Amino acid sequence: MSTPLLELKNISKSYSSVRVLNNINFSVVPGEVRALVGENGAGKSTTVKIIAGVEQPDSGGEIYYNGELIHKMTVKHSLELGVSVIYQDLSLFPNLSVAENIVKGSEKKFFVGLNTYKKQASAVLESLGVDIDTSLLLSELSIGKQQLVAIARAMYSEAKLIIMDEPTSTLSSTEVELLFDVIARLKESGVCIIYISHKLDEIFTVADSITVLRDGEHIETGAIDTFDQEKLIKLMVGRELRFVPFHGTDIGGSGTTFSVNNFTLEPYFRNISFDVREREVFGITGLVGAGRSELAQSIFGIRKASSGEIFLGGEKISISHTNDAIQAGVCYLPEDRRTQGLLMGQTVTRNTTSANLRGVSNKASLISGQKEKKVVEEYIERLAIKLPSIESHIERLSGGNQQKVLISRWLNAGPRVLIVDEPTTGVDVGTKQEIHRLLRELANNGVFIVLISSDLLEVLAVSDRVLVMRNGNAADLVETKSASQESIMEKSLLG
Amino acid sequence: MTKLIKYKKREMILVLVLLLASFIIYSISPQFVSSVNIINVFNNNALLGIMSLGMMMVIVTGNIDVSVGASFAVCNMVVAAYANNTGGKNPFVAVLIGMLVGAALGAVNGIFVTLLRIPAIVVTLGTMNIFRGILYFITEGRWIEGLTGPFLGFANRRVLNIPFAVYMWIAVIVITYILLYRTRLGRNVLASGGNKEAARRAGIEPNASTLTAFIYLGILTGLAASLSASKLGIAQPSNGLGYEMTLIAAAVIGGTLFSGGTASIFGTFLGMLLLGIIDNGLVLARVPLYWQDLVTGLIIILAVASSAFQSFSKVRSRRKTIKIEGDPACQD
Repeated sequence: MSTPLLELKNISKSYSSVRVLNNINFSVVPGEVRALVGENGAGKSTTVKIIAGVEQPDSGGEIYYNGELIHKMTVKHSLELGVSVIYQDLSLFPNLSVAENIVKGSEKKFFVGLNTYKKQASAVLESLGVDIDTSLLLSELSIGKQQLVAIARAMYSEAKLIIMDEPTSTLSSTEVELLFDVIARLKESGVCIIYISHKLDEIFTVADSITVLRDGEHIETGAIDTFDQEKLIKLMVGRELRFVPFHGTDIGGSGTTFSVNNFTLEPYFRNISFDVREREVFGITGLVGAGRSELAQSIFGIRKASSGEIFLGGEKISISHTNDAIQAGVCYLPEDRRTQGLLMGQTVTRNTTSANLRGVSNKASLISGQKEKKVVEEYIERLAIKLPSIESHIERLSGGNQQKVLISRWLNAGPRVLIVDEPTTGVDVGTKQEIHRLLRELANNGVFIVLISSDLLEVLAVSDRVLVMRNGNAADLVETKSASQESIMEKSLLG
Repeated sequence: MTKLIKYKKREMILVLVLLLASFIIYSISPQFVSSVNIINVFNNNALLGIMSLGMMMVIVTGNIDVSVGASFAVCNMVVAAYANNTGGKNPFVAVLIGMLVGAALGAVNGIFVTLLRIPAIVVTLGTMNIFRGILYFITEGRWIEGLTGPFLGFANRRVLNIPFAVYMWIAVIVITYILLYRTRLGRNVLASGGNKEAARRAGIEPNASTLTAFIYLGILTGLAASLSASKLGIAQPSNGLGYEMTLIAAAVIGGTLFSGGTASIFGTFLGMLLLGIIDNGLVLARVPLYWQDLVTGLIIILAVASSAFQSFSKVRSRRKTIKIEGDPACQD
């Protein structure tokens, strides 16, 4: 074995109090294709960002490149060392031409010669075997073509280590073949590739070795022939039970349901139908890109589904705006609380009452401070929210307490249906449990609960049935009592 | 040609609007199309035209500078004071001083915006008052007049019957083009305006781009202020009031998007010219002054509306690029 090109030693990373990487150790050698696999939230993207210098690891971790210790990996430094990343979100420039996107970051001279770059960019695209006019603006290309531009960019930089984060998610099957050809060629010339994908068949086609991450921990690294699909899935999900289960009783009750029929919004999801029964917590899971959040957003009226109907208690409700949804009692707790949920810079009180200001208004339609205070204090007690004062700004609360405030906001709006999207990300374990208990309690009190989550243990512990989505399709509907992490993961991956 | 229409759609529309406006003015007042008047239009708008390219650069980075009128007044007074004290012997040094002062003021704005991460509108609203306040304090509101020597009027000197200031405008257009499209610096400005995060990941420091743009606007402001002092032979601390709005209007009419990343040098030039022609035409047509403001206002709103529309479709196309669900915690 030659000396490792890149070696990570004891790499950890925490965001505020949440540890996303814990003592990661692995190394790659030139000419190797290493697959990096794990569930959503396993720490793959964070690892990539640390290698690329976008994020700095916590102290104690060491990065070696070609046997040399890198004291502080910055983006510039990693580019100079020959690390190139094809990010999942592509990280391209929509306002620049294809040629400029390809050369950006690798220009050597101060003065830019238009035609030489164009020629070089075309040459790279040609060697990829794709025909794209390099003078077009990037935003004029389809996503698949943009993905190819991102790949061309990595090739242009003559990188020694190329990291591909879900590079095939938007490619057609012929384009995927093309990419595999390119990977084979790069490998021959001694380039090392770290390949991140959820698609197991791809991994077994293209990779030489696999590193499995789970919950920010390094689980196993080994040559490809020491793995098979079954083993890999087991390693990805093989966690011990962490949650006390909260399954429902007397599900069905009076027979009323919340039904979604044939919801379609291309390219995110199509023909999704499900019924949530009384006293039931209904789970929806799937990998990133499966279309779960888009589905929820369409039900709530943030996006407009191209077709589909919603019935609540047998009555058809039409939602074309979030306001319609709230009027009908359909509420949605968004997945990213910081950008989609919290009113930053506002007090806890205002955050709590914002979805139902009528409820805290007096006869003259003016907001009553006393009523607000009463409402907020009630929820603080009921949800055990820990906070300095109800007048403190929302950002001063911990993640778990912020989430509780957002849940209070919807409880205050009088929900009949509550869709919660990744309600426990960035929340400590104790609070997770409290949120689980609360969801069950609400379901028992007649609120239809839809729980969207990537955390299979959470889905198994809290929901009664779970819809598994894959690439925008309903892959399967399973009873959680008879399901395991492995069986659900298998369905999300393979169907 | 079809390529030209496709990629320079906005500029082509502006050319048509310009021609249409010219034709209307011409039919009301034929002396509009005289070489004297046309040169006048260029000459009258050269200084704002020079500055508008700097404003465009700042807007490309996703920022804005409303302190530019006050910076103009500061540079104007400093240059005039220098010329006054030296008898206007050295116009070249005077212009250089003007540009240095402008660059320093631009750097102040840029540093506040990048290091302290205060929104540019807030920073420049503040510095607008600070710059002018200090100027009034030092000058006690007095004018500097009676400039003499080679400095006086060099900006009006004509070659081939065209004033020096107009040549400077053209030169700045060329320099801006080279800077923005032909140097790594300019490309980095465009890149960080288009996608800040992607820029960072490509090893580009977006803050450096922002700082560059503010300093560039400062330098051009200093240049314009020096030319102004030379042209008029006087300087006063109330100069440059309201310039910021005209400059922003010119850039926006020309197709510069407030969302950043998109600029048009030719468009900004045309935008400035359109505003100038309308001013000029309405005067020639003896239209009462308040109508001028109204027409200018309407044009700005139309331009901004179409700009907003472009931004909107840009955001939409960008959303399409990001197909992944939004949760950062989920992007593994």
